[in-house]
Amino acid sequence: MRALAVRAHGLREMGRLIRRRPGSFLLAVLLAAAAFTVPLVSASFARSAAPLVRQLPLGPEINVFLAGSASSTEIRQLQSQLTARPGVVQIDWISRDTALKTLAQRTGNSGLAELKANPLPDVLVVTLSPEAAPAEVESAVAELRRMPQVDSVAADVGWHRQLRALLSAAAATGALVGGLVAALLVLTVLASVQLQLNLSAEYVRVMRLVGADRRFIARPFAYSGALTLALGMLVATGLTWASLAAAAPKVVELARTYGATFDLQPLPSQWLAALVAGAAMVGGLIASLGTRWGLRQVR
Amino acid sequence: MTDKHAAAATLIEFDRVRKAFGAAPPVLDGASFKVERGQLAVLTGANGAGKTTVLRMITGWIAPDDGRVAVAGEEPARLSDAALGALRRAIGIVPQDLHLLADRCVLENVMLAALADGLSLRAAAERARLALQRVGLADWTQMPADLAAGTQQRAAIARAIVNRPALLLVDEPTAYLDAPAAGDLLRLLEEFSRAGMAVLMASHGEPAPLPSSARRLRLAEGRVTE
Repeated sequence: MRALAVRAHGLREMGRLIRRRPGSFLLAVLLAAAAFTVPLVSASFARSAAPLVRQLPLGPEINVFLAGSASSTEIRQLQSQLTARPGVVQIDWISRDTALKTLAQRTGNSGLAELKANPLPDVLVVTLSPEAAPAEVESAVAELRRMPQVDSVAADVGWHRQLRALLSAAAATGALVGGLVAALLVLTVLASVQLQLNLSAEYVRVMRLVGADRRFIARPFAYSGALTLALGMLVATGLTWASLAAAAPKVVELARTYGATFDLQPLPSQWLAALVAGAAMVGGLIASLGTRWGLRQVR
Repeated sequence: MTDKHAAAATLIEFDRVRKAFGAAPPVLDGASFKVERGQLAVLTGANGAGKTTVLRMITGWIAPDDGRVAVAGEEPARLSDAALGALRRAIGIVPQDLHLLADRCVLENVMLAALADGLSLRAAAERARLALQRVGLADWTQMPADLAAGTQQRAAIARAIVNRPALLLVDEPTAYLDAPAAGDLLRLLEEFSRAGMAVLMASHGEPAPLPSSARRLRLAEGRVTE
């Protein structure tokens, strides 16, 4: 009962805090919304692009061209030998007959029927883990070249190096933007709490006088922080939805020119509900800590 | 008010208390006195003698440099934040400048103390109305700024007694009151002490007419004499 009563008091006092400076509260909500919109739009794009990205071969591929004298048994032995190698995630054997058929289909069979023998080699396509470093790929290529029945080995290490650098830059940018967003949110809530605390100095004094402890006093400020970020997240959801709706036709059209299907969708509503709840919890925690810090010298 | 605070016979105990601020001579220098349940004690002293310091030590706002200050057996300066809050809720405090919040009516001001004690809105309002009736205030909906000084004083006293404290501290209660209003207030404080509450009143001079039952404590040169 007491727990309910103190929470109810906290909510009523939060209402007073907001009514005292509604403009400042609204500004804090809008700042939080702006900060949340960036990761929400990015997450929506990333989630929509995930099916496409999964189809891309992100792991480096090494083509192992085998000698014409290699028998099927020898090729299978080599295949199992390579499968056991660390870092290898997949091996596909393209037999010389399959390769010739594919070539015939692609070229419209022009002149291939005249051939007396199939000139194409058997090929093993070795796919390494996407985490493999360029040096590991080069080392694997060198090792494969020394193997028996291997005629030649080809791998686009340069492309892999570029892809890794691109992903690494994207991760660093993501971390930087995430850090900036987090810092902006923390500062927004703390500044809002500090302003409310300054405006409530007499309230704090009276509450200490009548025996309220810091936790009791901090509650309305914590609720205000929770509401700021929860509303910020809700507004950000709306902004994200509007942004995606505006961008979707152009993005879909762009994907179509590359022969891909791209369905730009906002995040599912359950996710958004969880994000609003999470934002409220984080806002409450930041505001509570900020208030207690502000009250630390009030005896 | 907790059972522990309610059961204590000696509500205030100063034992050879010393307190100095900076390099100035000590405000309190070996001050000792006690206030028991049901007593109305008046602490008089010149400006700067240390009367407010005594009250602030009782409420835990400041700590003694030396000696012991105990309230219902507890030393306020050594209490945790939560325990200090509980102790303050067992003490009614009426500061000299009253500290009534300007953004809420008298009833809501009085309710704050009950709400800090964990009461629901309805229970706090009920208790606040009783406290206001006890101090003779009928109009609860007015804002503090609209009240006369004596009425503001009564509102602050109602806030101080809303949690039925064992001890009431009042700082310069008659400073801004005319003689009839001061007389009414002193009679009210005497009623509280007769009902079992210990009342410690700090005053620049001896307020008149002081009830005959009142103990007279004089603070001068850092010591308390009777």
